[in-house]
Parts: sequence; structure tokens; C-alpha cells
Amino acid sequence: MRWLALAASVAGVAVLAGIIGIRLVHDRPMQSTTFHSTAPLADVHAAGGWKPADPRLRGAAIELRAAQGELQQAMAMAPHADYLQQLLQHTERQQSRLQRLERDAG
Amino acid sequence: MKPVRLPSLVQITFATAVLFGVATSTHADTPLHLSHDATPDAQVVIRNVKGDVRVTGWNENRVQVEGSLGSGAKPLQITGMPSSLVIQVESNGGSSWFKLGGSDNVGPTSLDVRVPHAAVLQVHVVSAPVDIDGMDSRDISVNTVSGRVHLGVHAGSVKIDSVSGDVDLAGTTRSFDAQTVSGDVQAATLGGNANAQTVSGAVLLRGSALDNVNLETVSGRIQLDAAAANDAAWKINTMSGDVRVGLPVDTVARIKADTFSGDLHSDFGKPVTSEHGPGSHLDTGVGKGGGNIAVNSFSGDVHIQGAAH
Repeated sequence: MRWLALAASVAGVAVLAGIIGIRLVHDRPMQSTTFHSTAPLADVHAAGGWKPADPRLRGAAIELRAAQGELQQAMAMAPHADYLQQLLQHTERQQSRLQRLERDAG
Repeated sequence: MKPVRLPSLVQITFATAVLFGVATSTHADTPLHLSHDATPDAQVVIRNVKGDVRVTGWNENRVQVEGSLGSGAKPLQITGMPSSLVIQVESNGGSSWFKLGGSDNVGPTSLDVRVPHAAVLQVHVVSAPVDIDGMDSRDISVNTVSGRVHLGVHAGSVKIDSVSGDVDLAGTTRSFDAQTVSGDVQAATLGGNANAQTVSGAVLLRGSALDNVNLETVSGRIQLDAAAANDAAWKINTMSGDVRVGLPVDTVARIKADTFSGDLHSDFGKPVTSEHGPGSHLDTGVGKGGGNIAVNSFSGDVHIQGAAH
């Protein structure tokens, strides 16, 4: 009988340890998706490579950079096309908006 | 040496059950049933990071919230005065509501909100899809990162800022303004002024007589089917997106279009291809007077079509 109680105690401890383990894993912040960038915007621009930690913003940032590169190539081929300059400014405004979102996220 | 007294099987089972209950209870969603008096044209601000947001206009001077609150969120309240109300889902940790990554500690919250149909509405979400219906409002605005936005409303003005979420306006407005990076923008029954800017998202708009139109994409395609108002000022610019503009055959306007390396086709006037360099150009007056329509593309094709409306 004593052995049965001992075995039950061990099983109970194992269950408790499992529950605690699950809680710890579940409650741990997802480091890979939290923001780490606290650099001022000017510094980010100076670095020339704004890389938000959040995957949703990161994808948009990559897309905006690619678009800006393509626009600059197009402007080199058609320097009098004012609308390309406007499109470039539009991507810069979008980039600023995303950076504000990142700052708001803390 | 005293023998160690081991707990009985019943005690262990009970303790385990209690601890298991504690472990799981904090992760259960909480049903929401909230209500607050509101003026007919109250300003209502809704903030929810993830889950979903449905807003419906009704004829009562009251805001009502149903749905379920995600685990890890503070108890929800409708705060403010009847003329200005806020419904904000916040993390229990007390951090800013708008934690893109940190919000993973908070479960998705589903908000089903009823507001006076003339309320002025602001909705802020991150990944939650937003559906707004049954409103006849002066002003509706939505900010989202990746959640799609569907509006079945009548509104004086609609303003939507999105990153990758698609935007779909099924109702009517006199002033439409949508900005996205990769999200598509669609609106079927526009009137008045339309402004849409994307990077790669498509812009697909239909409307009645439009006054001021400003559509810009870098690579997203643009399709606009509408009539130009008498004093219309339309500007459609893209780098590599294809542009298709459908105009009534009886349109009265001056139409200018340029493309550097794309094809240019028009049912109005005859495009000219430069002899000494790349590009095609169109500058034609259709009828006497009317507004101005300008289309510019670097490498995208441009089609200006006459269609019986």
C-alpha cells in the first residue's frame, strides 16, 4: 500500500511539473516578435537600413526599400518625370508611417 | 526517525485538479455584455489588437458591446461621455494597447459593437479584421496593420490606413482616402473625391461622377471606371503598374497620358510615339470644356477605354 501511495505521489509531482512547465512556456514573451529597435528615427535613417522586428512591418519595410530603389533607377532614366519623384515621396511617407507604428508599439 | 507521511491518492488527485483548474482558468475567454448611453452623433473609438471587430449601426442612442474578451486582457469597459466613447482592449500587463509583438501574451478578442448609425467612428487594430456595416456617418476612419477592412456604409468621408490588409468599400462616400503598402484597395460606388495610394497593392475603383482623383501606386495595377465631373481633376501615377481607365463614351474632358516604356492605348484621341526616344504620349480634348485627366506610367501599360455607362 505504501508503494502504491509513493507511486501516486511521484505521478502527481510529474503532473504538477508538467503543468508548471506548460504555463511557463505559454506565458513567456515571444522574443522573436517583440520590438528591440529604440533608435531615434534620424539614427535609423543614418544607418540606411531600418529593420523592424515585427514580421508584418519588416515585410513592408523591405517592400518599400525595394520600391525606392526601383524608383531611383527609373528617375535616372527619365529625369523629367516629376510623377516618379512624387511616388518616391509617397514611399517615404509610408515609411515614416510605419516607423511611427513601431514607435507607438514601444 | 519518524516515518514520512505521504499524501493519500485522493489528496493528490484533488490538488492536481485544483492546480489544473487554476492553470487553465486564466486562459478562458470572457463573454462580453456591455452597454453605454450615447448621443446620436457620438464619437466612438475602438481599439483591439487581434481577434476581430464588427461594428453595426442601429437606431438606438446607445453603444452595446458583445463578444468575448481574450485571455490576458484587462476587464473591458466603455469609457467616456455619451458624446465621446472609447472601447479599448488592453493587456493585463498594463502596457500600451498597441504592442505588435508583445500582444502575443493576450488572446484574441472578438468585439461585436452596435453604435448609433450616425456615430463618428475610429477603429484601430493590428491584425484583427474589421467589418463595419449599417452606418450613415459623417466620418469613418480605420487604422490597421494586417487586418483586412470591409465597409458597407454611407459616410461623408472614409479614411483607411493599412499596411498589408486589403480594403473594401461596398458603400458610398463623398471622400475616400486609402493608403496601403501591399493591401489591395477596392471601392464600388464612389462619388466626389477619391484618393488611394499603394506600393504593390492593386487599386480597383468604380464610381459615379468623380471630382478630384489622386491614385498612386509603385507596382500595383490601377483600374478606375467612373465618369469625370465637369470640373474634374484626375491624377493617376504609377511606375510599373498597368492602368486601365474606363470612361463614358460621352465624356467631356482634356485627357493627357504618358508612358516611358509601356504600351499606350486610348479610345479617345490618338497616342503618339516619339521618333527620337522611348515613350508614348496622348494629349486630347474631348468635347468642349470639362475637367482634366492625367495618367502617367513609367513601364506599365495604359488603356483608356470608352464604355457605355
